[in-house]
Amino acid sequence: MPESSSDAQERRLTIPSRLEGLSLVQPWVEGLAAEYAISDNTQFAINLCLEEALSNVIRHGYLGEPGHSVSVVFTAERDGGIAFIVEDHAPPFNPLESVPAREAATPASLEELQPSGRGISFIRKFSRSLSYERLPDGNRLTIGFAPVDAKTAQ
Amino acid sequence: MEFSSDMLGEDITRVVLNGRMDIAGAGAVEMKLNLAAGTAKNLLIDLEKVTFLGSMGLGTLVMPSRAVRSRGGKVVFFNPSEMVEAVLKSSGIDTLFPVYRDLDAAIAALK
Repeated sequence: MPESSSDAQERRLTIPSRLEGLSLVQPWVEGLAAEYAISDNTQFAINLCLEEALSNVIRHGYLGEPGHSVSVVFTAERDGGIAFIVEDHAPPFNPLESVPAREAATPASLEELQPSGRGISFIRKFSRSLSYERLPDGNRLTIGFAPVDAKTAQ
Repeated sequence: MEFSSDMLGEDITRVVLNGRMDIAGAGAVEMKLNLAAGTAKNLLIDLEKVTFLGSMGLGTLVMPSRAVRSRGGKVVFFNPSEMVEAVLKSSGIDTLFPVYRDLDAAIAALK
């Protein structure tokens, strides 16, 4: 968990371990976008990455079991860099090491085209930076995005 | 998430999606999309008013598209926004189901 400091601002969202809880994400991101002058395209990318990351935790980390929670912490630095830190209490799982071949490759034929399984690939492609850390009781995935306009954000 | 469909001539089914194709939105239109694709000879999926497309939403587009193609029909995506198109391209689905921004060109491609 990053240290809070006078140079960073944080916002936290906690959602239950149900896919319905994902409906909380978009309005939360929309509020952040208004406050921090995040562009529409970056907002889209943020929503895309968070939907993938959170649904993966809910479906695969918690196996769809209710009663758990996932938190997302937004951090904004004075230099404009922004990041979303997804933390859970699920069994150890590093999504960066688990990219199925089918998810990484462009389908060459209709038969190779899968209806699902692109989550982590999307996160990689639509984020600026991605890192994983195993916690004593869970997992932390940090997803970084391009800096907001520093002049506009002040 | 809103769904509507109509015919462009005798052989092209157009489905128009409006809203967010997130997990909830995809679930709301999945059955209607599959039903429309079940009888379509060729399929034009109008994405102009789709404001978000995630992985689940993409999967909801893939299933009916594969169904039409498996019967020998053609499928195109029409006029997605910049970011929705970026999602289509990042998955490579546009290599199998092309994207058009001009309706006449899209219709011509389906004939």
